[in-house]
Amino acid sequence: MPLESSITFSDGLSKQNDDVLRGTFLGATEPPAIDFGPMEPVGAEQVSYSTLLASSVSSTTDVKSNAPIPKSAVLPSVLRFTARGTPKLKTKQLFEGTVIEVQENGFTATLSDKTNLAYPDEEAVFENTEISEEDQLLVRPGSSFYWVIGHETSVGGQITNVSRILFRRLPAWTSRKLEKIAADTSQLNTLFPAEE
Amino acid sequence: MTQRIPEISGSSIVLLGSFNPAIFQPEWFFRQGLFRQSEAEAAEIKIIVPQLTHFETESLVLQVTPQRFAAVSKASANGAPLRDLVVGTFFILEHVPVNALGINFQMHFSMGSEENWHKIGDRLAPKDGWRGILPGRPGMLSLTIRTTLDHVANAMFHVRVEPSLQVKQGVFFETNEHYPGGKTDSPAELMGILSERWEEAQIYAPRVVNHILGWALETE
Repeated sequence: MPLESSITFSDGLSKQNDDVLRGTFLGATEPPAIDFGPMEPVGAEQVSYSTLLASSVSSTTDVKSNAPIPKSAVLPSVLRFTARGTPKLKTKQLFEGTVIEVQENGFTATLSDKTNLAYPDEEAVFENTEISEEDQLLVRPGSSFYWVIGHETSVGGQITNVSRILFRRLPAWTSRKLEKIAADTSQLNTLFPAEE
Repeated sequence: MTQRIPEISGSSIVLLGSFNPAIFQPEWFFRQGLFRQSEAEAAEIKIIVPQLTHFETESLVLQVTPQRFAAVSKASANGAPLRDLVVGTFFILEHVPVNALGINFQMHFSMGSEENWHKIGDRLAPKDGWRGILPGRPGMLSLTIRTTLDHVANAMFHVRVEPSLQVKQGVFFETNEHYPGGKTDSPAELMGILSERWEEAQIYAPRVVNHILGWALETE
């Protein structure tokens, strides 16, 4: 199996077992580190699976039968962060809305429930006071937005109900191109289905 | 079965390709209409140099190296706008070589009790063989399962399971949908996949995880 398929894992929350804390990445003024790399397998040896999956986790499981050989110089780019010390949002419902009518102090929109796809679309009225001033500039028939409803837990443990409306920022020309690409992709998948 | 809701969740989009990190500045995203002005102005820039860009906004973290572009939603935000940001970026930068896409979701679940917490590890990684030879109490540190996805050629799906370090008596899951690029390295096809797949992936990931949790916790 191709190794590269492993490395589109995010290096964020998943790298829990490291001790590196949030923000303690190395700056550009640091001299480049010498990458000794994993030793090539010899005989029945197997490259540590944790080495394949985790780009820079130090491990005492790597077997090195000879002195490590420098393979390249790399800029340390390890960046870890965790959700510790930050508010946490638990999303209860996510809607995608499309503005159908604009009124003086608000707008009417159809809502598609993204957390329960089987539910039918609904219509709702929103006031401009529910959205940011910058997003108010985006309110017009046809514009779309996300409506996130959930609970936010503060760093101190305080739980607050939240309702956030975020207008989508997607340049107009990309929407048309997007639809075309999606249609082409679907057609390709139909004509050339994945091998079993 | 009642869907368990994670205590902490996040999502990320990772691209592999050839990038110029210095381009990806908050001001650039604002000028392209992808960030609010207030969002760009309030962004916390950790570093922007030719080899690495890293900054954070209220809702996301962006890190770019010459080979990797990663946009990660913060735990304090819903990841829904992440797709728009990445798709918008790479429709503007349509000539940037991109050769792989990863759609990732991270979830921390509370098991509610130490007994259930151990049950997950014991069911996913049975200890019978290990207890016979190892001292102490062997425990599962990390487990990754890989399979192929049928809807796109050479696409893969990974699930990683670990004890949670952020939720007491919790279990951490990360899912990864990996899509290789086409022969041309143009981002267009991968952006099409991202656009089409994003919403379904957001539902598929917790469904997979809930299935595993339900199976692991059911009484034997």
